[in-house]
Amino acid sequence: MNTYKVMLPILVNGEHKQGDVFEHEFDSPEDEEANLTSGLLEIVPRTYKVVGPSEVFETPAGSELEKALTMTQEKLLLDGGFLERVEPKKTRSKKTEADE
Amino acid sequence: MAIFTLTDAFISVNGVTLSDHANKVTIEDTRDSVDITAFGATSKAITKGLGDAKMTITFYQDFAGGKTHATLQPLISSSTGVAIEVRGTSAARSATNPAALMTGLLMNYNMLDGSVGDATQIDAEFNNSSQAGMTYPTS
Repeated sequence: MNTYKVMLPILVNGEHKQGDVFEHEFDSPEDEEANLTSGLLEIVPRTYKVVGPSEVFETPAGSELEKALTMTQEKLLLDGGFLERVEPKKTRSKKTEADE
Repeated sequence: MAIFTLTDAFISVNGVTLSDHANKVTIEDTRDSVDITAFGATSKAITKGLGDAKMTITFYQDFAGGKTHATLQPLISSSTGVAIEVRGTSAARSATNPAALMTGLLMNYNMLDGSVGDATQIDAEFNNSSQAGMTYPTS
């Protein structure tokens, strides 16, 4: 699952218009590539942590980086034990804290 | 302009820095030679045709996680190109340290290649797989 931004004035999947950001899982890397190279979609960067011993995108082991990775790139780097996803921290609203 | 001596090349395969496991690199950016000689010509005439690019990198084998085998082996079965970047030095890209960058497919992977007592080396050949071909970004 990746997060994409609609870059062209075309309705995507019947609901996402230009500028919208949405999560989607393409059936194949080729499908994703076709949508990226046409300029219709752009991958929204996400945060990763370098977990292997090697530098990845010139970021040392143990550090975090923000990168827009294609399905193929991400799969190779996650499966190979080079990177892991850092899920965004959930922010708690003041109202929730006050309620507690 | 000083003559450049290669001692600290930067090599990245799909984002993974493998400079400390390589000792030779060859970058090839080529164009087909197309014969356009017509009747009446007295000399052969040629023009440039399609472009092509290739990077051949000699790596030392390392089966540790996150090193040579872990980076290259998955690429031999993948049919989607990955970014291969080489720079003359490990310093950041600049006008005096340009990168050679292409999206390439790994076309051969000789996991072990050597004789008794040798350091095992791999000649990894990446062939261009995108219309961009070889680019030379400086930033």
